[in-house]
Amino acid sequence: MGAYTILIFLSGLVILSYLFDVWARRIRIPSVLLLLFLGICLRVVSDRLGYSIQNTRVLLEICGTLGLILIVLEASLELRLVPEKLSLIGRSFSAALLLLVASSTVIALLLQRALSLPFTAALVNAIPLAVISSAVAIPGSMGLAPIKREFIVYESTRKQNSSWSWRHWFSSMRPGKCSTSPRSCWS
Amino acid sequence: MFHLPTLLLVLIFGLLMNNPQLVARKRLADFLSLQNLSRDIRFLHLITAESAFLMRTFFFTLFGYAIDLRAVANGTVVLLGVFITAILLAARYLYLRFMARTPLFPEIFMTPKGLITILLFYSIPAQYLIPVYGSGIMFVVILLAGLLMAVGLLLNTDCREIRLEHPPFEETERLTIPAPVPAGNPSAHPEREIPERLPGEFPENWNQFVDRFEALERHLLDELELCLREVKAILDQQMEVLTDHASPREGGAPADYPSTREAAAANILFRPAEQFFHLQLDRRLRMAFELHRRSCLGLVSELPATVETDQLALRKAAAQSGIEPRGTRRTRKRMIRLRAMASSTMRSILRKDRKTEQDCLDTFDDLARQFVEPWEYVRGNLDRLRGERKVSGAPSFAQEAARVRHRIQDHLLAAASRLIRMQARQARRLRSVRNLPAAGPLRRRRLAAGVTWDIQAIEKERATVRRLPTPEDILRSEIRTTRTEAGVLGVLRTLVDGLKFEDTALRAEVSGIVRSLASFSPPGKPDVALKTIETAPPSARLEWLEQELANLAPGMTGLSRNRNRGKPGVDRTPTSQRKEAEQALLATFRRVCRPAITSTLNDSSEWFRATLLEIERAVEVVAYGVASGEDMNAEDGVSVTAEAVRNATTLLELRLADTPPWLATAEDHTDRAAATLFLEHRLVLQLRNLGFLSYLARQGVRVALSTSTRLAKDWGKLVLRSSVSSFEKGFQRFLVAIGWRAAPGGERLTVVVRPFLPKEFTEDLAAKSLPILYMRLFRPEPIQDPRFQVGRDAEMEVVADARALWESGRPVSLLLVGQRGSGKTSLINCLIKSVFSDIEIVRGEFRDRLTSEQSLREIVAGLVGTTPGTELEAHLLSAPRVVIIEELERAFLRQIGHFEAIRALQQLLSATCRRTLWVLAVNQSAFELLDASVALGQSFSHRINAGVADQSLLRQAILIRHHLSGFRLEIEPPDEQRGLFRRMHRRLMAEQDPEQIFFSNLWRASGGNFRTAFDIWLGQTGSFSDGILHMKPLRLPDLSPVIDVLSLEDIFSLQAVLQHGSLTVEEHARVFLQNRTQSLSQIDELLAREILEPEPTRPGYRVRPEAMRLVGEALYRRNLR
Repeated sequence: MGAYTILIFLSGLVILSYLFDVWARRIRIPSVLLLLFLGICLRVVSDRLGYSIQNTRVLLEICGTLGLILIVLEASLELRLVPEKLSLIGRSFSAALLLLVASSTVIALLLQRALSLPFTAALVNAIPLAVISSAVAIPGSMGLAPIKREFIVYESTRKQNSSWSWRHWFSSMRPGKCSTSPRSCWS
Repeated sequence: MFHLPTLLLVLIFGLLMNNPQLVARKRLADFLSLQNLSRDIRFLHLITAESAFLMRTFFFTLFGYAIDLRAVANGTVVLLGVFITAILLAARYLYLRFMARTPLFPEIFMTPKGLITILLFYSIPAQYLIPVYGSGIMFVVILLAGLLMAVGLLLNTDCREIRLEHPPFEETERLTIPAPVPAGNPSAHPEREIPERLPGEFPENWNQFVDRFEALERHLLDELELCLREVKAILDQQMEVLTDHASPREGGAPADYPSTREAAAANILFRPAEQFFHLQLDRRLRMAFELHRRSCLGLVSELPATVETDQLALRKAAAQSGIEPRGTRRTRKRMIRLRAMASSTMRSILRKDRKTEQDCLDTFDDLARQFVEPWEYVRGNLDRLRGERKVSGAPSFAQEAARVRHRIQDHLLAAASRLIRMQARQARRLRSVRNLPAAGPLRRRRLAAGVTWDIQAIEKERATVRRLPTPEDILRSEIRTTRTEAGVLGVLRTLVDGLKFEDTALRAEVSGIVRSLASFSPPGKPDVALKTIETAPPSARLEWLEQELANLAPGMTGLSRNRNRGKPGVDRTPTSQRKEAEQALLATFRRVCRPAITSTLNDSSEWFRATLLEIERAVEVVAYGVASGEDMNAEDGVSVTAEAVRNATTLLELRLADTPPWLATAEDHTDRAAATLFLEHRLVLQLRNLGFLSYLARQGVRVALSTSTRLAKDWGKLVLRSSVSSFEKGFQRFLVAIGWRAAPGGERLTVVVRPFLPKEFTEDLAAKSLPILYMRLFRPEPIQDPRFQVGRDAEMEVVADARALWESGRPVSLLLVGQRGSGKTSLINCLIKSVFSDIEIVRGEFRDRLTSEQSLREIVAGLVGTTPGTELEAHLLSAPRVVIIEELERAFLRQIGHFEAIRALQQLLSATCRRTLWVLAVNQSAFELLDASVALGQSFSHRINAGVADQSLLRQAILIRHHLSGFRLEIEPPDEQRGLFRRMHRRLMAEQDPEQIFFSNLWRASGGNFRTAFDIWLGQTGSFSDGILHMKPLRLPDLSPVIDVLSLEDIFSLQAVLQHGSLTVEEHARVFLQNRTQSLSQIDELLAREILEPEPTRPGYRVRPEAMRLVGEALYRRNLR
């Protein structure tokens, strides 16, 4: 394959990805999932045609690391730190960490039982599976309402969890939590 | 392995860039231009986002490419993946349920795995990696998580979720929502406490300025509060009514659907909406802010331009009031440019107010949007109850109502807290303004920078909210839709009322007849005339209904997403959307509503018809009674008539007593149909906002599930039933087969049809509209025109040779042998015109059966014009002439003693053949018989077998005639032939010309007989169009069924008929030595089978030309030919 072919292929990929992004909003399937399926299809097609890409793992790592940095930067450029929220970060962070630890432990136990591995190996393998990926969550949550989106953004980057404001939001909506009727709290 | 700390750095960097106000305190702020920075960060953000998009694209495509599907398709891997996903879901469930305490749905599904998982996974050291399944498990988990997320996003259809972010406020704050502040009492509220008036070191006019500014601020706040209060009042009222309407009627449908709906709409929608429109909230708020703005600027302009202040005292005073003054001025006395300072501060404040105003407007908008909420809820509930479409598992009525109430309360609180925050800000601002002269220029600068920063961020946040339709639009659209719906209900009611009215009219009619019958006294005639009552047919009513709906529909509008805030009362819905909503209503009506209404209409019309029939019947009963009463004697007649009248009255009274079943349910049905229509229609309108998949998720899945369940049930029943019945049948048959049980009696009725001649032979040519020219060309007569003579050159030559021999004085006689229709007569015609054109010719034929010598001699003598005595030979020898006699087969009868005539002819022939050239024609079968019995062939010197024509001759003969017609010939290719042998034949013989196939089949079907071939040809002609003749493809008919049913007697009879040309019944009887009745019955049977037909010109029966081939075939099969 010549350079032009590769370039045309890559730019076609970008255009397709953009289209996926647009469609994702309408059909509400994360564009990332579409991309994934596109990749699988490409594999099938290229196997048929006899092409293959070597060293996918290295390419994946390069792309992934770059992408991760960019995605975190993008997300962090969107977050606004308000002084009042800072005190809460610690609490939500610890909650998220607890979740991560708990789920990875359970998964590790499962792997240990199922494949008869040493626990450390199982744990090491389990941690990646327990992490929520921001790369999928953030673009995927575009179809949601802003508030829910914010929640997911915070949560998936695990740095600033807005569960505090959430609790208020929903406690005010839940009938049981509201101790006073609207009129009594008004006058 | 080291990229996670990098990430942390990146995160911190990003956060710092985005939140510079945290860093840029004190001195750093002097060196940083926050405004420029924000612009740069915007670009940075853009670049980062775009490149992240690029990297994401490549990464995930590559990852998908790297997935080895073979590794994934493994039971263990899939099972483990599913388990791990389940664990993750469970963990998340616990987390959301007990720690975060947020709604579970759809956040529970938002556990995507992707980039970080893969990267982490790839960075696992080799010794720890799960040997075989590792990457497979990861793939499965990632795919499952992605799919789950897709499901979660799909199911999250709450499109109204877009709303303002709530300010977080504590429970205590809820209770301190501003109470009305009496004017002139600023300390009434603790929050509003401002420092006491600063000591006299401040310029007096400054203090005045601050006071007036404070008053203005308070005024604005009061105005806003008033607005909030009024809105709240309306909402409260609405809530109260909602409670009324939400009172539990869950058990059944409300009594009167339209009026309930109307009342609810009036209370919950129309009145509040009217009040809200009256409020002119938007305009009022804007005006308040505008007024405030102008007054503030006016205040500033009244200040003196410069004043001299005691800076130190000021600072001290400021310190007393708790304000830390900025700047380090050491001068005691200072001239400050008061107006300029105030003006710049005021401007920055007002600029900030722009944002506050927008916030405020948005909050109020958001609040006002809630006006529709209760109505939507009540309406939806009414419709669902009425339409009996209550979704199982939905929260109960009361819970739902409480939720609506709480949501509205929530919005009220949000608005209130917005006011509280404004109040707090105003207090702070007031303090800073009061302290302004003590503050330095630095403070001013900071303010300005902060403002720009905030506005940009806020503008971004609000962009989504502004795209929503304005509350007025929503309300108006809702009102219009509701009005239209009320109209639809009204129309449906009118329809039902019309039906009721007709029913009442009919009843009145019936009871009128009953009354007149009751007043009838026996002698005389009762006065019952059937009035014609017109009832409209259902189709007309339906048409009317659709017309009305079409008139109503233009009032309907979809919700426009209009971002312009324009004048109220102007419908800004784009025409396309309007059309869409209109068409949606009509289409939904046709889809949902019409079947129900049609069934009601049909029921009613059926009822009306039945009633009319009853009336007619009653009238007939009375008429019959009266008529039979008149026939009898007086006494009986009276009683009969009275009885008839009594019966008729009872009939009608019974009818009156019946209540029509449809009448009771008509309203119910129409109401339910209308409710369904409204629900569906709203759903269809939402479809645009929701997207197709979520429409399916919301509506289609349920419907699809119920439909498929029903279908599956029906199918299951059907399959079960048919399998059971077929098993029973099979078992019965088995019992019968083994002789356990006698076969169930009687053969089934079948019709056995006697086989007829194939239709290829019996085409009725008279019925075909063939061109006259064509008919003439192919007419079944001997040709006169030598042009048509084909392939007879050899015969002509033979005849010419024979004539030459004869003229040289040799004894010569000619015998033409051939089947009927094979062209004997034609040949003779041509001979007369060519070979014998210059010689005396005597031509004749035997018409009657000749069996004696005498009769033959008489006939021949008659032909040549002499007497039958010995003069005949003399005459024939007197001069050379040609005597042509056809139909030699009539000169004998196949019975002992009946061959005399033919023998006499033979004698005559041998006696006179030197001077007379005899040309005789005989039929093939007769010749065979005669040759065997009387050695006929030996009497002739030349015998010409006209015989059968071969294929090319036949084709030539047909095409000569056809060409003269001037039509172009097109023969359709034959159908695909069935049968293994035929197919193999076709395969072997390759593709043939359709014409070739046609003529080959024609030749075989006709047996080489010209006349039969012509008949078939004409029968196969298709259409004559544009000078083209289309021939239908010819199949070879199967003669076996007809031949098989012929008995031996039939065959012998047929042979005899063929040999004799034609036979009468008597002759037949004589040939077969039986009596006449037997012969008659045999011939009649053959006639019935269409094989024989009466001879057209003579008595007797002959074989039908069409059946010639059949008869030949039959004889051949019995070895009789």
